[in-house]
Amino acid sequence: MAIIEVNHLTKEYQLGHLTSLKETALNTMRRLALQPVHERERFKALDDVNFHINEGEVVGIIGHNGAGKSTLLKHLANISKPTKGEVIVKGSVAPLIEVGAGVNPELTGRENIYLNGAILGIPKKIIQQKLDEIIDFSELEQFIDTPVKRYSSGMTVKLGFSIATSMEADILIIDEVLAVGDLAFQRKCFDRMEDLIRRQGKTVLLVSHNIRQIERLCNRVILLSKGSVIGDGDANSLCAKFYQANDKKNKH
Amino acid sequence: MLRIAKNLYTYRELIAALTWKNIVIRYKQAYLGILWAVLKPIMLMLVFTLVKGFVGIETGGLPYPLITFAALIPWVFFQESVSEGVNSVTSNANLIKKIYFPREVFPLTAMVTKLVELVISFAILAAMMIYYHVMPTLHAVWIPAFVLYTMIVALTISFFGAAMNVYYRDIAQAIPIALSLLMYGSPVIYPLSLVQKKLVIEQAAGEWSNDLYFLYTLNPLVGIIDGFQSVLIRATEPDLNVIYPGLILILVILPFSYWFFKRAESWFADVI
Repeated sequence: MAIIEVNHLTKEYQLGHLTSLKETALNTMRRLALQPVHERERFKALDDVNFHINEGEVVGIIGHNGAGKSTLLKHLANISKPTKGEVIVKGSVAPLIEVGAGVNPELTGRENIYLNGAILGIPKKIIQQKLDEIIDFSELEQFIDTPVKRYSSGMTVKLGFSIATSMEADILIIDEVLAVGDLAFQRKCFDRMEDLIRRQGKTVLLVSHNIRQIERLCNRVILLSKGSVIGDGDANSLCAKFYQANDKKNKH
Repeated sequence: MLRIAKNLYTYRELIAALTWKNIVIRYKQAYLGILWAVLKPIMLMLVFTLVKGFVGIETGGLPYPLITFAALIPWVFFQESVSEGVNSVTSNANLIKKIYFPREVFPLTAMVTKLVELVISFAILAAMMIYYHVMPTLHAVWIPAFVLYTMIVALTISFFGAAMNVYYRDIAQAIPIALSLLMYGSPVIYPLSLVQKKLVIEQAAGEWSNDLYFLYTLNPLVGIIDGFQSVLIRATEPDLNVIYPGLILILVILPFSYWFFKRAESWFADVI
């Protein structure tokens, strides 16, 4: 049963600044003079993307920079709306897209756990139950009552990740956040991911440039290039194809 | 309208958390802390009282500082709610780009933050009423209705303003000016009785007097402020004729404002 359906998804952005007063006035004059109007250039971030994801699948999304991976994830997390096509998501989504987003530097770590939890939609009771578990995972017991502006960058990220992964949802969307923190923490995050995938059977969408990680965690991979899906299937073969494409690009 | 109330309830934990964050952050390193919230109406009242010493304003026997402060409570609440509401979406750009929840949470949070400050202002008003030996009467039960009415007016402007501000940042620049002008167009510094005397009784504008008066009462703040003063200080029922025009206008505009916000919401993340 498809938990995520993406049908003919197209997303166009307009490049450049919003039309200023000067441009609008000049365009009006051009229209009156029956001359071509200067329109902002359009950029297709996603071009007719189609795929279905079933419950419990672990899908990796790979591609070069600017291929449309984050844009795709934003559509799945309901942050952006498609220009054409539709996105149907049948389940709650936990977006791990830059986990430090809701973390406010003026508040302490503990206050931020409550705030970030509220932003992610976790009911207060559940945050209270899981409070110790979150602080423990983040390894910040000693600093939890200090304002976050005094934390190191690694500490902030550990806090954010810890809060975000305590969110119970059917679908996890992870946008390159496993590459943060020191080696020991990265291992811990990876283990938690594996736990969520194998033992709890969550549907996971993982965007990463760490192809090894993708090969280890995912059984299916979607390869994006310049907004289109150029591969969708077995992880190992598509990752190999991606390596080949990269090698070719570097040879030139 | 119902959808706004429903969202207010569904996201109450989030709104509470964000409101709490707003208040804590604003006053965390301020020595006077949350007292700053009430200093604004107090200062304005003192300035107006000073000015009144030079300019004659009839107040019908009631102490000027008291009725002016009673007028300033809803006015400052409205002004601050709109100022913060219009900026609420753009100042939370990072949240808009990373996670989804209905964006009306932002203007709603701005308003709830100001509600907290409103409650503190009431405490000051109570102190002033004791000082001037003015007792509150049963008419004071109208107050929650007036506060709700003020909230509706503030939200109507906030929704439209916040959505427009994402695309055209001029709105945030224009709001302080517009609000200043509106303050002069509302019975804050002078009581409504002065306007009634000039336009209705004396017909100072000739033929246009009654129309001008009607136009004046279309401003919802007129009904609110006069109502506040009536039920709290003058201990009478509010003058409903002054309230109707503004109320009907706002109830008609509110759905459009909300609809506009929800339409624009889809593209916030792209443009902000």
